[in-house]
Amino acid sequence: MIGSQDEALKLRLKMMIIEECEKEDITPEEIPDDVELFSDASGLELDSLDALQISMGLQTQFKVRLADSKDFRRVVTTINALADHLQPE
Amino acid sequence: MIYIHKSGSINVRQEETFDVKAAWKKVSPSMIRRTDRFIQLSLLGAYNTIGQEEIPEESALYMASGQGNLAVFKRLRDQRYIYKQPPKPVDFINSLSNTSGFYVAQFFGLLGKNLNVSRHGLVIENILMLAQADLEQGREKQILLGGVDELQEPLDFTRRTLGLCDDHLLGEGSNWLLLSAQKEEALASIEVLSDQMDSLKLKAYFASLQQKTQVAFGGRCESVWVEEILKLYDFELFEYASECDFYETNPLFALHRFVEEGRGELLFINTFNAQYRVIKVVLI
Amino acid sequence: MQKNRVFVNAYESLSCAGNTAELMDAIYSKKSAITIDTSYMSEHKAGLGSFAPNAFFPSLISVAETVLEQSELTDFSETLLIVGSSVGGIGKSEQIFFKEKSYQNINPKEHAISVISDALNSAFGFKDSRSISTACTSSANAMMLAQRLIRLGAYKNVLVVGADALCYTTVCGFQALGVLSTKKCTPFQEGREGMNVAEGIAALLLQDHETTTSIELCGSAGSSDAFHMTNPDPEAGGAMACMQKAIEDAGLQLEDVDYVNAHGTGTQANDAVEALAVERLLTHNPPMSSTKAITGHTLGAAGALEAIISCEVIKQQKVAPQTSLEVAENSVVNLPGEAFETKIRHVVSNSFAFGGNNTALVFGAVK
Repeated sequence: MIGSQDEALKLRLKMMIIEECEKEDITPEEIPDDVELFSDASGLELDSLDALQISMGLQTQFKVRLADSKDFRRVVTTINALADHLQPE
Repeated sequence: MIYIHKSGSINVRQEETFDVKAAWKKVSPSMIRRTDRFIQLSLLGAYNTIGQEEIPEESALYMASGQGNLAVFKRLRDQRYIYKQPPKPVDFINSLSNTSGFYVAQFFGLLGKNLNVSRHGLVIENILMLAQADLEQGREKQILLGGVDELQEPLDFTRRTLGLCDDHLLGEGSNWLLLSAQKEEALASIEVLSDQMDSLKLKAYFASLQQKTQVAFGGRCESVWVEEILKLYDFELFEYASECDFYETNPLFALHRFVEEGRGELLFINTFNAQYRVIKVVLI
Repeated sequence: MQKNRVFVNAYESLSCAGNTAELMDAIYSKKSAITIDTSYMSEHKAGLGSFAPNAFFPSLISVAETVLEQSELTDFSETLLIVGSSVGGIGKSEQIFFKEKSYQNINPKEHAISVISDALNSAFGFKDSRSISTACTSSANAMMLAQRLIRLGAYKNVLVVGADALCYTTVCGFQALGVLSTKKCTPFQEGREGMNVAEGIAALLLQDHETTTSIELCGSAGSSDAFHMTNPDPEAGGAMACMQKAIEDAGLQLEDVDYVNAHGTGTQANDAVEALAVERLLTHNPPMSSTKAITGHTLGAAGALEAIISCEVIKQQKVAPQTSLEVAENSVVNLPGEAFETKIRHVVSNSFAFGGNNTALVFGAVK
């Protein structure tokens, strides 16, 4: 199943983001699937340090290594796109 | 001469549990992200001193600690050696010692100098001397000065590290003073006597005192020695130790309690490596 | 109140570029001492600045010994020791781990910052000691504290020691922050990659009287951005404020500054903001360079190491060039491509740390 269709995978990603970015006051349901995570529209207010924490979370929990910030910006856009990257089919 | 304008405290006994997060929730609806217990203790202690009041943004922030934020080092160590993982960015940053100062500065909007001093023994006396120097020279107008220590388990290991005997109770705390060179509206004057003294010199100083004085002693003073001093000189003991277990920065707790409830004048005597220092507080 | 003046009367350092004399040669001839290393992270290359591995503590003692020999003092019994270090004994406890393969035997006492002052104290017996840890401004803040105490007359002699050893925690920590360069760092360069972590030891004897070789520590100041934990204030407010306050503290005008030894780590964020701060504040455009292109970033030792470089620049009346620069990102600031001799009255040395902790020191030829 392609990642963006896999609700369980997307929930795991959202839980990871909440944990790594210490956003305990946000529930996974409040994180939209198709909005850029690092945009104002997501309402998450994430910054560069969050990017590093998410990058580390992807590495330790999802075994995905992102080489640098360029790579990160390419892969970590929306939850749907990130899930598709992790699970292309 | 410099003056205490505000004082505030968090003080946790060895047998107590203190939910710092819950306490902070009463101050501010959301937890400040990326903070750990050490930083939360720092913030809450400073808040208990300043509250909602705005203080001038050029105020300086001086922080002292006996051991610093050791817990984060342990986390980094565990990540590396036990879980075989790279350090978490936030933990690495928080291990760089001045982070608690950053969060306090950010919360209270302080843009002045931000210092962090750690030392085994007499750390409060040292940072107070520094504050005294900067305020008296007019280098700073106002200094928010705090001492923060977090209790580290296992206790016997921590006692060994601190060089304390086995029956010493260990606590933790975050105690703060707002200091300036201005006497108006101050609560008390405070002065660290410039001489570091050995026991003989200290006794000569005690003998030179003209009037009955209140005294308090740091946790490193041997109880036998304290009893001897109390017998030899016309002193009245200001009791704070029954409310406070040992941590390196707890002299600030004693000063805070004296400012809150004492009267007259207090000499706070503390020691490290057979050298003594005296802090003199006179209530206004 | 009459304030004592503060003089730097003796100093020595050790970095990947060698001792102070070797370091100045490397700076003036633009020879970076950074090496590319994979021993800390097998999967990543990193430019690091390293000297004699496993000899950090003996080196620490020998650097202090050299300063004592240079000075008129016979011992340090009437000297206050102020140590500035960001990681202190981390390297030592890591070594214990690697040797014994045991986590249990790491002594937190040896892990603390105070391990450096303890080692120096047991070798020399200082009158008193204290440690300052504010990450990358640690030893710059130690210099500032020494200046205050001497001015006030609390001490006549203060030895400032900045010391940080290379260790896993800092190399991998900065890697985790994504700010390490895989190559030799290129401060102020357009499209620069990041910083090089390095180790360093620098010791300076500050005294309340002048000798024939004195350089004066004329001013110092600190400020906080209170902006973001890792990112500097993009408007450079904190960086400008501390430079301006330090120059005022020295009783000087902005135009009296003839050279700036920049913090210049080689990271995107630091160099852009620092260049902007210098561009806006020092409009007479004095030459500026970051000697971290030679030494790497020695973290808590950087402030003291660059204080020594600043003293040398004044003694030699010769501007330190910017090594590894091809195209500057900020085209306004004056980053000299080659060393040159000129009249240098005063030098500003910048140190900035995470948490928006900024410190500037001002050195001058003795008048």
